Amino acid sequence: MEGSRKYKFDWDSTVGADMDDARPSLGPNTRIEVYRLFQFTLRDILEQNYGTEKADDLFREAGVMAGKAFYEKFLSDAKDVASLSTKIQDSFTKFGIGIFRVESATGDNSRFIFTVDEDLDCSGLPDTSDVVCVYDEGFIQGVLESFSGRGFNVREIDCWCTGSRTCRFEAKARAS
Amino acid sequence: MEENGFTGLEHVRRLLRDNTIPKLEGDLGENPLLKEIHGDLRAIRETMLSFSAGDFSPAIKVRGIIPGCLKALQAHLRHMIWQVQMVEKGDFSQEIRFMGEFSTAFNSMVRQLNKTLTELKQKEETLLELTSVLRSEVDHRTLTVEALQESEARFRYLANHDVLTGILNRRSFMEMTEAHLKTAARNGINSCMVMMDIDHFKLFNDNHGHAAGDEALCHVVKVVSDGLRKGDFLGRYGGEEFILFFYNADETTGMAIAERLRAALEASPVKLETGDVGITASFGIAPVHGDTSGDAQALVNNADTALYEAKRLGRNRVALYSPDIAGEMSGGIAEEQSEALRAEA
Repeated sequence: MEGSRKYKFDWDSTVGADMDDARPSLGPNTRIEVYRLFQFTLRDILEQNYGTEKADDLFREAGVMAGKAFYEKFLSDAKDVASLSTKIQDSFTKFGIGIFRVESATGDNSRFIFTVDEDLDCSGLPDTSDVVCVYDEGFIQGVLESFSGRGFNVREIDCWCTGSRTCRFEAKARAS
Repeated sequence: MEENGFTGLEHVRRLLRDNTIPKLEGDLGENPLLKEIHGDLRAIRETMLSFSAGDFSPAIKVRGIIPGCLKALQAHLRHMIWQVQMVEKGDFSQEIRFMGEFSTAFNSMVRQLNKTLTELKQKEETLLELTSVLRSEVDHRTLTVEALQESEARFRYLANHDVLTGILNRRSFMEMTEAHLKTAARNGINSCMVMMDIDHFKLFNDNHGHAAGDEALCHVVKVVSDGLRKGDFLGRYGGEEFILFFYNADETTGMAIAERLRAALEASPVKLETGDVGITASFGIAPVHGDTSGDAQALVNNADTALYEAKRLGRNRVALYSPDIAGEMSGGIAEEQSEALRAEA
């Protein structure tokens, strides 16, 4: 499988290195609707083919990969949780992902509560009583694991789609 | 039914306005929509009461726009608490965003705090540097003062002592003697002034050299010093002549002490590289009685007279001053004889 793969992720070969060259007229940005159109149609197909739980697992897994790649490219010089938080906050704002905040952290950095306002995935969606930011869960997990070298479980505990006006994530270090 | 609707609205208004939560009673308690609204409003009230009391920890479980806004506010406030904790730990990179005027005020405060602490740190470093420089300067000055004190003490010692033998020189001996004579006169205490001269010292020098002569002088001083009582003292009068003061000693005691010193010298030859060389000394004693106030120089002269009497009688002996000897010296014994004795002392 590894030898014949078509979509193995890599920043340069799959995302593109020079957006000015790639989109000289339109630039690097697109509309949220287009992003969500892409994401939720993909979710739809994944769910139809593999069921809701598997679709969420696949999305979360992709989020972990994305979080790790994002960390390596934009966050790897963070020295502690405070500077990591600031860097995530800056980069999330810069790329329009959301407004990231640390709500609490234990002294040993084994448990965190993060919030993301104006989340790219869910902000403004109807209240469906279900949390939907599984990709964000994976993304945060990937960042934390790359930063700390420890395994983390991340779960969304509040979401716009459960009637909250912010997304809240709880991250817990896995017992080693 | 219309009445129930009115009562239901009245209940909602009371939920919004009253200090206490009204009970859902009677038919109202059977209305599921009203029960839901009652439950939501009750949860919202409790959350807002906690917030108003400064407790931002309660979990908000109800849903909708108002609880959603409260959750967002809760998240903001808890994030701010975390940021303040980070600032407290020294992370001045913390900035609050999207909170309007509060963000501006908070960020300005953190910047100012950072600036002030940086300035304080710089001042502290400057003070530490200055302290270090001052400490070095104080150390340097202390060393200089100590060196000066040492030097002063050394000069004082040199001014009062004989360089070769380390005993008092003539001047300081006389000063000390004057002081003791005053005390002795005040308290009626007898004392003795003693002149001591090494016998045939010129011959010793001629035979063994001046270095050996110096060695002999030091040897004599050591033997005599060891034989003195506590309170007696010794000085170098010049050349091979020494002067001693026995405090609280009448003529009998003075004679006994001098005789003991003489005997000790006779029994202690000078140990030169070429072998042991015997050495002796003559002593002249001038006693001063406690009921008279003695003049130091006059006593020295008397002791000197007695010393020459000792020399005249054959050396290596002790002679006591008496006016008779003085008469003989001034009248009977020729001045030439005295000079001859002095020359071959």
